[in-house]
Amino acid sequence: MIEAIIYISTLLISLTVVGSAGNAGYLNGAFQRGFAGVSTQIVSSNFLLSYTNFETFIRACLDGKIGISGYFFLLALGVLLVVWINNLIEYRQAII
Amino acid sequence: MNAVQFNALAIIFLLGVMPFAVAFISNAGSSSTGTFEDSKAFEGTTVAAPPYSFWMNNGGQNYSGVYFASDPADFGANRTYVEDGYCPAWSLTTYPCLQFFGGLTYPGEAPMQGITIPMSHYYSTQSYIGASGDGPFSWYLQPRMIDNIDQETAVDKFRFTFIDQNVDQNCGSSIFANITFEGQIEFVHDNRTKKYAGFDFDTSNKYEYQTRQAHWVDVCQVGFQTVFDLNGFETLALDEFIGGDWDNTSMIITLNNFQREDGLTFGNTALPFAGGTQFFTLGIEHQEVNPVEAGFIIKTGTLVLGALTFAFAIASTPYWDPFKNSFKGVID
Repeated sequence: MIEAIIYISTLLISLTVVGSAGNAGYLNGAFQRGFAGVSTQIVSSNFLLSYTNFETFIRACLDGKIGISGYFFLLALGVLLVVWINNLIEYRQAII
Repeated sequence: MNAVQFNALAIIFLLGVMPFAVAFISNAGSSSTGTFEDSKAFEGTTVAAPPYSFWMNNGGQNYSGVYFASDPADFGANRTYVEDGYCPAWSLTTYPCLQFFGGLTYPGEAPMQGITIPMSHYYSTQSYIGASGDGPFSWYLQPRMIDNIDQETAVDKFRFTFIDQNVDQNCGSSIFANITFEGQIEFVHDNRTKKYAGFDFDTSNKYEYQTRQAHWVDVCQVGFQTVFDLNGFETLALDEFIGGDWDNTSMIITLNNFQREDGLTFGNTALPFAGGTQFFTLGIEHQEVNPVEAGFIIKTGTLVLGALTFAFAIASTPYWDPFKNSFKGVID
């Protein structure tokens, strides 16, 4: 569950990076786009999992250790991810 | 702002702002005084009274066969290796099979209040063979071992110091090596347990300090320190678990997967608690935090972060654009 949240977040980041690069005229080949997307996701997910306590924080929220504040944060994060997924599909950018 | 700038803003928020905010909240919630206090009082409850603490694991069963071969007599203590508090090779299957009571060090003998505990093969009738494997080593410590922790307080960090004070080593001795190992701390309260695992330690088995003998002297001995640093949420969860009732809380400390950094096999690399016929010194110290203050900071900080995240989500839709509203005409 926690890993899923982090991987979805980093997938959005990689799609955003590749999309932005594509709009700017870079990464036109499928291989280049795939390579850049996968690399970005690996680096960003490693960063969140290994160098920050983001995962521990989400786990604490899920386990109810932070009470209703933690659940509210998870809800807000979920809403943010859904909005960004929708924006990327509809407008090819995370924030509009 | 154009599309690229908006996308950059999204990435900065997710990879920059949010982890930083999370780190800030958790650290603010677990900030303590910064000084360690002895968890065991020198005066007061002795450690030499039941319920006794005991060895849970004494290094794995790698060498149990050697001990067995040296003295196959039934009920011989040398037949024992301790596994989860039991001695499976011993026909006497009592639990726990290797209890200990030890004693206390006098002020000045160690940098902290020390508890003397029989080494891993203290009860062996066979002299110590010289190696105990790479773990696991674990101890079940009864509440009397931490009777200096105030009731109704929350603990942010535990520091355990293991020293073999029996032999002073030359500080340049080849007995010392850089080692790595893993740790786990478990709390037992009201027949329930709460475990915190995944602590990695990278240290040396050389412990250098000043001790009071005839006068103060610098000594190098086999030993090391481990700090189990709980983050803010873990501290709160632990406080909720035991309800500040340290008088009835036991701990199980486990150290496992010992390895040498130089890549050599661990073999008979010296560990402060691995040995026979003698005692090692265990120092337990802790840092306290105010659970009410920590809880307030963490919960309020999380609420604010949630509100910011929610606002950022709405701002990511076409329905509300705070940047255009605020900076209209400046950024476009």
